[in-house]
Parts: sequence; C-alpha cells; structure tokens
Amino acid sequence: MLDEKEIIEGCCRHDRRAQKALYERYASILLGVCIRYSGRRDEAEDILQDALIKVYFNIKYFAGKGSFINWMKKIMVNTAITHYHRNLKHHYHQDIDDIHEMDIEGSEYDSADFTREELFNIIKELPQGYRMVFNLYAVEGYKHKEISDLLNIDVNTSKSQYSRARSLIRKKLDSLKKIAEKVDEQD
Amino acid sequence: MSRIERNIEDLFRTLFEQFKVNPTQGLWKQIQARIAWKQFLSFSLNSFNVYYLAAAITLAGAGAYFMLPSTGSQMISEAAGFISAENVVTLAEPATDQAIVREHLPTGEQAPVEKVEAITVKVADTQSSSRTATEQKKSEPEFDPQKNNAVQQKETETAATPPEQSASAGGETISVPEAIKVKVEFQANPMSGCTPLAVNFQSLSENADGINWTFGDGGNSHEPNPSYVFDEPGDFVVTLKIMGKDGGEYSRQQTIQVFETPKALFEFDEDVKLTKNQPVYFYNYSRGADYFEWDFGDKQRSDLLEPIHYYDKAGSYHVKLKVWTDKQCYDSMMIYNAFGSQEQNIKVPNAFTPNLNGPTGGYYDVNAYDNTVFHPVINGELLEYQLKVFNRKGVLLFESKDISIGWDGYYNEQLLKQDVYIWKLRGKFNNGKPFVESGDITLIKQY
Repeated sequence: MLDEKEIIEGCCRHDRRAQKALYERYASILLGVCIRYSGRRDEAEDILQDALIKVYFNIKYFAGKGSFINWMKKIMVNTAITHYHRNLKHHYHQDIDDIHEMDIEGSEYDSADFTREELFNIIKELPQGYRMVFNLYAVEGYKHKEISDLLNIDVNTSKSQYSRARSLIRKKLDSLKKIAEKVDEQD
Repeated sequence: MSRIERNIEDLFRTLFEQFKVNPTQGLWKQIQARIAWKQFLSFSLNSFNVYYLAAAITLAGAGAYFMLPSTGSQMISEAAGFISAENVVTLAEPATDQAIVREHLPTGEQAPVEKVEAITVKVADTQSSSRTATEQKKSEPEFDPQKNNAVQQKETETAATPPEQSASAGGETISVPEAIKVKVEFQANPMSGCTPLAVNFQSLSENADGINWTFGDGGNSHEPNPSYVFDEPGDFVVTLKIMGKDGGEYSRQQTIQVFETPKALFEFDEDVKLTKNQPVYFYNYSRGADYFEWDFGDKQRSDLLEPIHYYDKAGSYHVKLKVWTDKQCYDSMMIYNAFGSQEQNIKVPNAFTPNLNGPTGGYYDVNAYDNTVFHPVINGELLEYQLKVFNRKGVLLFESKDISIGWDGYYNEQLLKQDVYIWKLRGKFNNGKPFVESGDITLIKQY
C-alpha cells in the first residue's frame, strides 16, 4: 500500500498504480462530500468523476501546503458548485412560501444521538439551494460573503436561506429525537 | 449566535468529517478511461505513448487506404506528409521525448516503404494510370504544407490546454519558484481593542500586482492601505493576499483581537421623596461588564452591582455609572438632575371617557376621578401653557391656553367617535425651563 506522499508523487508522474491507489483510498470519503451537495448518488458520482479528473491533472499544483484531503475536498466542493449552476434549471424548484417554518428554540443536540445516515437523509431532503448554503456554511465553514460570491447570490439570500435551512433541519432533528424517545419507552 | 445554532453546525461538522459513501463498482473504470482520453488529448511529455502512436499510424493508414483507389504515388507523398507531420510534432516536444519517438519511427517508415514497392509494380502494369499519377504528384507539394500546418496548429492548441486546467483547479494557492523577489507583509494598528474597533492596515508588500484583504468577518478590500471597523467582538484572522509580479500568489495572516465593549444602563426609583433614611434602589441593566463604579452625585461612591443609597437631603443629583471589563473596555451612563424633576413635572394620561350627555366646556375638578375631560397633570408653576388635540387626519379639534380647561371629547358640539387622537403640549415652567411634548390619547365611549 502506498502512503500519501508516494501517491502524490506517483500521480504527478501520471503513474497508473498511484492513480488507482488514490482512488481506492479517498474515493469513498470524497463521494461523501459530493453526495452532501448533490443529494443524489448518480449525480454525486458524476461530480466525483469530474473532480477527480481535475485532481489527477492538477496534482502538480498541490504545493504540499495544508492537508491533501482538504485540498481534494475543496475541489469536490468547487466542482459541485459548478454542477449546481449547470443544472440549476433542471432541478425542482420549491417556492419559499410553500415552506412552513417553525423556529423553536429548544433542545440541544448530541452527536451521539444521530447517525451520519440520518443526518445525510435530512440534508438530502433539503431544497437544492438550502442544501448548498447549509453545506458551505455549516460543514465547510465558508462565510456568507464567500458563499454569495460562489453561488452568485446576494449575501442576505445566503443568510436567509441558511436560517431557513437550519430551522428545517432543527425540526427534523427534533422529530427524529422524538421517535427515538418513543422507541426507548416501548422497550 | 445562540448555543443551539452552534450545536447544529458542530453536529454536522463532526459527523460529516468522516462521512463515507462507497462508489458503485465500475466507477474507477470510467475515470480511468477519462484519464487516458484526456492524457491522449493533452499530449504531454508523459502521455506520449503507444496510444497516440497507434492513432497516428491508424490515421496514416486510413489516409493511405482512401487515397489508394485514385493513384499509388499520391499515397506515397500522403504517407510522407504524415511522417513529416510526426516530425514537426516531436520537434515541439522536449528533448527527452525524442528518444521515444526515434524508437518507434522506423516502424512508421517501414510500412510506407513496403507499399511503395507494391505500387511500383502496379505502375509497371498500367501505363496510363502512371501519367495521371505524376500529374497529381506535382500538385501534391502545395497540399502538404497546409496539412502540416493543420497538424501543427492542433498541436499548439492541445499544448495550450494544460494551463487552463490549472486555472480551474480550485482556490488552492499555487507557489511558483520566483525570480523576482516578492515580499508579503503588513502591519495593523491597533492589533487589539474594544468594539467598534477601527484598525488601520498598511501593506508593506513589494512587487505585488493584485492585492486583496480579507478581514475574517466577511469583509474584504482591494485598497493597499485600508481602514476597517470591526463591529463584533472576537479574534479575526486578517489575510493579505497578493499576486506577485512573478505570477505567484502569496498571503500573510495576522490576528486582530476585538473585545466586547460593555453597555452601561441603569434606572432608579424616581418616585421616592428624598429624605434621610429613605433608601433609593438603583437597578443595574448593564451588559457585558465585569466591574462597576457608581457616583451618586453627593460625593458618595460604590462599586456594587446594584447599590442602595441614602441621600442626606432632597435635591437634584447627577448620578453616574461607569462599567468596564477585564480588557479595559468601558462605557458610562449619567443621569443629570436625578430627582430634580420631582418639584416640576408633567404627566399626561393616555385615555379618557367623555360625558355622553353633551359638551361640558372642558372644566374639570383636579380631585375628581370621573376622567371625563382630557387634561395633563402639572406639578409646578407655569408661565406659559398650550394644549392642542388633532385627529388622525391632522384636523385641529381642540386648543386651550388655559390649564384649567381640558378637552371634553366634543368637536362642533358633536361627540367624536371612539378612536385614538394626537395631542401636543408646550409651555414653560416658572424656572424658565420650557417643555414640548406630544403623544396620543384614546377616546373611549363608556355607556
């Protein structure tokens, strides 16, 4: 098994073995990033493909500064944004007025209470625009200003979409928690 | 930011850090194919491989095959054209690549030679066709350079693609070994302070083309020496990014510490009559403060959160509260002439119930509690007095310059409807202090 340094060097030389090693080692975690943005597996794999091609052909520009996996994740995010722009017109559009929001301050969330899959299912069901903003802001840690530049939207749109996304998520987390408690009571 | 918001973010961030989804089988095959195809197109040093050579030979072969029906000699020059195209290509490549080419070239040459032999035999067979062949052969050299050019153009195009890809590679910093000495440095003054903190930044960079500041709170600037105001407390990482004259991107980071400025706010019991042994309660509504200092205006001080103070005698005092934090951020609030307005003040009710039986003329008894006339309650002696009442449309309904006459709720002998009306009050106390006040009064019909 090649280590990270060998993989990078190998990929710079377009070494097949290194390319495959990179894929085997990182594809699953990178697909995890893509699928968060897309919500659909087939589209996420398209994104992964495009992004990995970028990784392979630009790996020589990875200067070794910072973490390699984060560099690749960033490329995944950028590619996902490109896809989002490209496919914007195809996506089902949900009107903001149709979303009933309820922002109740309340419970705290413990990471032990939820599984990754539960959280992913929540993310998956978010409207496309909300999902982009939420991922960028909450998970990737971008600022609203940066998000507005990336997605070509107003800063305030980013902020309001984020807060709506958050309240939707909170609602879903609470309902998940309630279900879990009910199951506990039955046991 | 509430704790809940941060919790959702933390929850997703921690759990998604290692969120893995296994790709479907065969995805790698697709990617591999795309890599091979792209390498083939990009035609770089490493990608010049057997695929490209095979394609070139196939193309040459195909060209030869299609030309065959017309004449044989045309095909010779055709094949020669491709070989020369091949040469042009290899010239454009770095020296190391030529070694590979040389190994393979003979096979390319050999094939046409064999065909030449076959064709000469053919020529011997048919005399008539050989004539047209020589004619076409003459015209051939005019064709060839164009073809070569076309191939050459294609090469330069594909060679130009790799830099474009690098541009689309995402926001990673690309460092290039520099010939020009590029320096990225900046200074900030002050480095820390209380909100709102205005900081002057000065770029000390050298050989910089583009300049970009990000202030860590979402703000940015392209000025060389910007001033920026931090409104929120926190540690902000200020990043200066420059495009060096050598084409590289450089950045420098410094942290600006912004401390929260407290807010001083207090109230006290205004209604107490100041006498000896009468406690006065001070209510402290300050935010974000660690330390307090009260000055009661009678040369007495306290550092308690909510002190209770005893004034020796009645009077008006300037009460001051100063608050500050560990980081020496401070705020203060002062109430001038506290308790001073006790002798002379105005109070205005916000509702009244007119007499439904008819206009009363507005005379009222100060001690009556029937509340049928709207009038302010004045403590003190007045030099001037004027009360005006308007309806929502701004029509003047009532005016009085006599404190003993208030508004009875009638206009032109008609009782007005139940509604909110606007009043304006102006005048002067006998100590020369003028007052102007306005507000609203609700007329309630009480049956």
